[in-house]
Amino acid sequence: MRSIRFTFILLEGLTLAVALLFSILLLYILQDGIKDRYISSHVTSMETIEIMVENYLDDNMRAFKNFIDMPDKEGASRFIPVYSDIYYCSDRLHVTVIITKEAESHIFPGYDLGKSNVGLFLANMGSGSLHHSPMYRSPENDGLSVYIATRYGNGFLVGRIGMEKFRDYLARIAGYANSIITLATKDGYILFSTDKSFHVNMLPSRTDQEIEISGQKYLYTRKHSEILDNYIAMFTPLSTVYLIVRTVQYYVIVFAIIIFVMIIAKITWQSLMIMRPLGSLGALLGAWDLNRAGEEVPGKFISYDEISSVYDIFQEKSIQINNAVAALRESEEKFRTTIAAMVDQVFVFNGEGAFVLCHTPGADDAGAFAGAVVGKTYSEVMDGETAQKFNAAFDANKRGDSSEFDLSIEKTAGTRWYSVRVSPNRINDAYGGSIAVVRDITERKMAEQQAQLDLMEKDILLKEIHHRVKNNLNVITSLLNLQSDQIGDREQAIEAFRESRNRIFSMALVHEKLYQTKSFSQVNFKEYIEDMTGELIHAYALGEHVSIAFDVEEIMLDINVAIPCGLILNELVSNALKHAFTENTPGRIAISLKSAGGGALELEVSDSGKGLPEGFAIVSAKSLGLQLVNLLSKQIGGALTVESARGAIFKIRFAGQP
Amino acid sequence: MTKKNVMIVEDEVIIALELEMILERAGYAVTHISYTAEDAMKYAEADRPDIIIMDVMLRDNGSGIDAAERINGMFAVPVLFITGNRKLIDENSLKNTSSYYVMSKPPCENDIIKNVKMLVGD
Repeated sequence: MRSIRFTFILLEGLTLAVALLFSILLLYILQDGIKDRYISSHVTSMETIEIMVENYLDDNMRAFKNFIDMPDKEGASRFIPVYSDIYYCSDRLHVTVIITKEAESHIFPGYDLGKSNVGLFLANMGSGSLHHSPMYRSPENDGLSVYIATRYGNGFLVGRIGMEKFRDYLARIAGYANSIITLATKDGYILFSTDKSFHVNMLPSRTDQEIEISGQKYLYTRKHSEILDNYIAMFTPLSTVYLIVRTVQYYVIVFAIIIFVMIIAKITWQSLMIMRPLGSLGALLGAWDLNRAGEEVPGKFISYDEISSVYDIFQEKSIQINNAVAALRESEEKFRTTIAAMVDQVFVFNGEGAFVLCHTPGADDAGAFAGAVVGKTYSEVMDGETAQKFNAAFDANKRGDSSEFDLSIEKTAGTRWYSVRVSPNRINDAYGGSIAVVRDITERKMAEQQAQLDLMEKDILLKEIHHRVKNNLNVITSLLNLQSDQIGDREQAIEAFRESRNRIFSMALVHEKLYQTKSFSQVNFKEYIEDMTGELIHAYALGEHVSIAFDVEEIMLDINVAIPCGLILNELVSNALKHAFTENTPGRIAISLKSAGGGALELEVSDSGKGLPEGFAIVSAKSLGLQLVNLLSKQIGGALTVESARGAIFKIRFAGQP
Repeated sequence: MTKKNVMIVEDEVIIALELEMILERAGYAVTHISYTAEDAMKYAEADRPDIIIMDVMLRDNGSGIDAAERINGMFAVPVLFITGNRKLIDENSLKNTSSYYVMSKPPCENDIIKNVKMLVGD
C-alpha cells in the first residue's frame, strides 16, 4: 500500500537529497576551481611582476641615460633618487669618483670592484650605450641590487638601484593577493621575501602546486625572470584559499537550508491543498448514500477539477447502481414472493453447496432456522445420510440432471418424512447452485405405514375369524348332534329346531355385535342382552303378560366370553319363558349384569314364576339346556349358584376378562 | 372285552360334550374332559387313558401339541388332534408323540370313530 502522502514525501525527499548532493558537489568543484584560480593568478601575477620589474628598470635606465647627458652630474643625481649609488670607475675597476652614495654604502674612491659580481658584470659588458645587471648581492651593503652601467671615457659610469624600495613595491602587489612574493637566485637561495615573518632560505626544489612549509600549507608558483636572472616565487597560504572556500561553503549551506525549508513548505502545502480535499472526499465517499445520487458537487470541491470529476463519476455510477439495484430488488421481490407462496419447503444453495435462502413455511422456528443455516454449507447442517443424499443430488445437478429422493429425519416429535427434488440452478449457462424443493410427506407415509399395520392386523384378524368360524361351526354341529339325540316325536323335533335356531342366533348375535367394534373382539353386552331377550320373546310368541326388567351395566365382553355367556343367557331366558309361567298369568323376568369387585362380573337371571322342582340339582339336570348352562359356566371359569324361592334365581360369577 | 379309556382335551364344552356322546355311543369310556392343558396333564398321569382326543388351540394360550408332547414324555399314548387350522401343527415338533392323527373341525362322527379305532388298534 502506498499513500499519495508517502509518495509526495518520498519524491520531495529525493529532490532534497539531489539538491544537497549537488550543493556538496558544487562545493568540491568550487574548492578545486578556487585553487586552480589561485594557481593561474599566481602565474599571471608573476608575469605582471616581471613586466613591472622590466618597466621599472626601463624607466630608471631611461632616467639614467638622461642623467649621463647631464653636465652637472651631482646636481642631476637628485632627480633620480631611486639610485642608491652613482659613481665612476676606471678601466681597472677601481672606483674613481663618487657622485652620490647612500650612507650605508661601503664604497669609497679607490674601492676595488674587481672581485665582486659588479666587477664581473662591468668586465663582461659589451660596447653600447647602457646595460643592466641581474640582481645580486652588491658588495656595497650586502643588499640586493641591480646595476645600470655605461662606458664612460676609459672607464665606466655605474648606477646601483637598491632593492629596499623594490621590495616595497612588490610587497604592495603581494598584499593584494594575500600572498607572499619571494625573489631567489638561480640556485634557489631566497634573496628576499615580501613577508618578513616568512623565514625560508631556499625555494622548494619541487614544483608542486601545493606544499607544506613548517606546518603550514601554501599554494606555490615560481618563475625565472630573464631580466633579473633570478627566480620570482609566490606563496599563498591555503588558509587564505579556504577562507574563500568557507565563504562559499556558508552560502551553499544557506542555499541547502533554503531548499530544505522550501521542500518542507511544499510538502505541507501539498498536504493542505491536495491531501486534505482528497481526505474529505474519501470521507464523503465513505459515507456515500446511493440515494444521494444527483446532488451537486459540494462547494469545497468545485475548485478542484479532478476531485469534482471523481465526484461526478461517483454520482453517475451511483445512478447506474441505483437503477441496477432497483431492477435487482424488483426481481428478487418477485422471486421471494414466489418462494413465499410455496407450500413446500424451498432451499437455495450456491455453487459451493452453502445455503443462500431457506423457506420453511409453517415451521415454528422458521426465522431462527434460516438465520442459523444461511451461509453454512449443507455438510455443516445435515447429518451423514442426509448430507450424502444431497451430495449425490448436487453431483447430478452439476451434470445438468435433477435428482429426487425421499428423506426421513428424526425429530423430538417423531420421524418426519420428506420427498425432495433437487434441480440445478443454471447461471450464465453454467452450474451456479441448486434449488431443493422439500415436501413434507409424513402424513402420507404415516397413512401408508398405518395401512400396512392395518393390513397385518386384518390378516391376523382374518385368520382368527376363520379359526373362530370353524370353531363355531363345530360348536353348532355339536349342538345339533347333541340335540338330535333327544328327538322322539314330531313335537320334540319342532322344539329341537326352535331351540337350535335360538342357540345359533345367540351365537350369531355376538358376531353381529362384534362387527360394530373396531377390533372385532369386544361385544357390548348390554345391547346384546336387550336384543337377544327381545328376539327370544318374539320367538316364543308370548303375550304382553311377561315383562323383562334389565339391570345391566355398560359392559364390554371379549368374544371368547361373550359366546358362552350368550348361550347361557339364551338357555336361562328360554327356560324361564318355557317353564316358569302358567298361561295368562303375568310374569316377570329380571336380568342383571354387574361388576362384583376384583374384575369379576355377576350375571343373574331370575323369574317370578313357580320355581324349580323339589330337589333340583343342575349337575344332574336332564335338559340339554341346563347341562349346557352348567358346562358353559365352567368354560368361562364361573361359579354357578341356583336358588329357588319365589321363582328360580340363577347366578353366575365369572372373571370379566379371560 | 374292557372298554378303552378316552380322555378329551377341548376348551369348547359343547364340542367336548358331543365328543363324549359320540365316543360313549361307540363303546368307549370317557374318563375325563379337560378344558385346559394343565388339567389334561394332571389327569392323564392319573388315568393313563388309551387315547387322547386333543384340541390344538386351548384357552389361556395353551397348546394341544405341547400338552401331547409332555404327556407322551411321561408315557406313550396315541393322540387324535382336532384343529380348526391344520397349519397350526408343525409335525417336526412332535418328537415324543409317535402315534397321532390330525382331523379338521368340524369333524365327521364316523371319521372320529374310525381314527380312534385305528389309533387304539381295535
